[in-house]
Amino acid sequence: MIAINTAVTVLYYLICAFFLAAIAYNFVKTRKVQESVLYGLMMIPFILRLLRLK
Amino acid sequence: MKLKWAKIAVLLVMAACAAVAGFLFHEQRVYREAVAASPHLTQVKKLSDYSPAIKGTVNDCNVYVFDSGVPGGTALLIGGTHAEEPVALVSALVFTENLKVTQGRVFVIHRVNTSASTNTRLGEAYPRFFHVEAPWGVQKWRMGDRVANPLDSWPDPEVYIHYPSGQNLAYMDIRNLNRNWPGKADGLLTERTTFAAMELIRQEGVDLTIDFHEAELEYPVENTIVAHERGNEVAAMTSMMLTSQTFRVPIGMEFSPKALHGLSHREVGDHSDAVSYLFEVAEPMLDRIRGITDEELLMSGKDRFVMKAGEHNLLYAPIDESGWPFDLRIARHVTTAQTLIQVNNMLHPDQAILMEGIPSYQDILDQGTGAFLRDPAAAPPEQVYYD
Repeated sequence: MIAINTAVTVLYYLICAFFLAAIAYNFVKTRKVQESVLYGLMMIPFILRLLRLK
Repeated sequence: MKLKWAKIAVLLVMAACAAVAGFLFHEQRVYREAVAASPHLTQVKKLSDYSPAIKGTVNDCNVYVFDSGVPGGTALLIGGTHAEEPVALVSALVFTENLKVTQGRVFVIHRVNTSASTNTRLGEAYPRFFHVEAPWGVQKWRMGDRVANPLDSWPDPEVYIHYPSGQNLAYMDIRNLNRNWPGKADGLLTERTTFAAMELIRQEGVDLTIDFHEAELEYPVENTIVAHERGNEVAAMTSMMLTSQTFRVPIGMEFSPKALHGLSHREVGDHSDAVSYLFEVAEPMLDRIRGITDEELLMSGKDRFVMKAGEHNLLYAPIDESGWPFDLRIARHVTTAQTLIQVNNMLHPDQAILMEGIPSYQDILDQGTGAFLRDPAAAPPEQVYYD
């Protein structure tokens, strides 16, 4: 049980990192200010999760 | 160029938001709660001294031991099962900071589910901390959640299957300490925590356990002692004594349901020689229909929406303009624990526990809880511990 949970947790953080990278990529590529604000907001919870703060 | 500066501004604002939020989360997670223990404290152990199952985890809490050296009974007082019920924590603390045991032994745990105190309930806007004024200053504690922090125990199963009964429970109850008794050595965090607590109870030959709680007024198990069947006589007599002589609002007594598994009042009694009791007292802040959820509500226990529900007979406890203040809730728990142990002494003289130094019901109401908390800064360093 503990081993399974640990594996799922590691996968979860890898998924978080993937989505954070994808959002950051879109943030860099977008030409619209409004979208950059949206991507910026979206990154906050992913950063807090990766840092294990929430 | 304009776009580039706009993105830099967005990044700066985002970083500031993440930094503020991260600081607030981190502050609650790492805050250390000082305990200035009674000079009569004998020893402080760790829960992992009884089982390696929780060694190195956040739930490896302190166990405060008061051993008179005189043969008698042994009691275990448990606070912090649900970290959003702070009176449970502080009631246990009043014992640790004032107790002198002259016969028998008393074990006290303040934060049996420490992990639950390191985050707040999602979507409920709970305060992160609460404070009690004392003559020497202000004491501060974490105000937590009902269940363990997902950072410490995650993911939850789709359905939580209680061990060993096989009863199905809601998924998040795998992190609810009072659905995980008697625990499992190789389970998830809360299962391992209760397993270690059961090992404490078995290895120390504990005769009775008291698990402090608070409950919303909408909940039928309210202002009561829930007792394992081996404790029915003691609980009934305690209830009658307190209701007739001390409490303005009666305290009831209820039988622990035999088919409802995972709760301390059922499993501790079933899986050890100890007789298990659970105390409930009214806390309006836990009600679904409350108003602003802030520290003022937590401490005063006054809420006009809950009062309105009372006017419509929707509650299981009375409430008026005076509310259910913090000191009243503490006074009820501390007095109920003292009385129950005294009654147990009468009915089971071989398990006698004699205690001194604990404030009376009227003392707590008159002087406030803070009058019975010691200043960690002024206490000798060898008497100061951290939860």
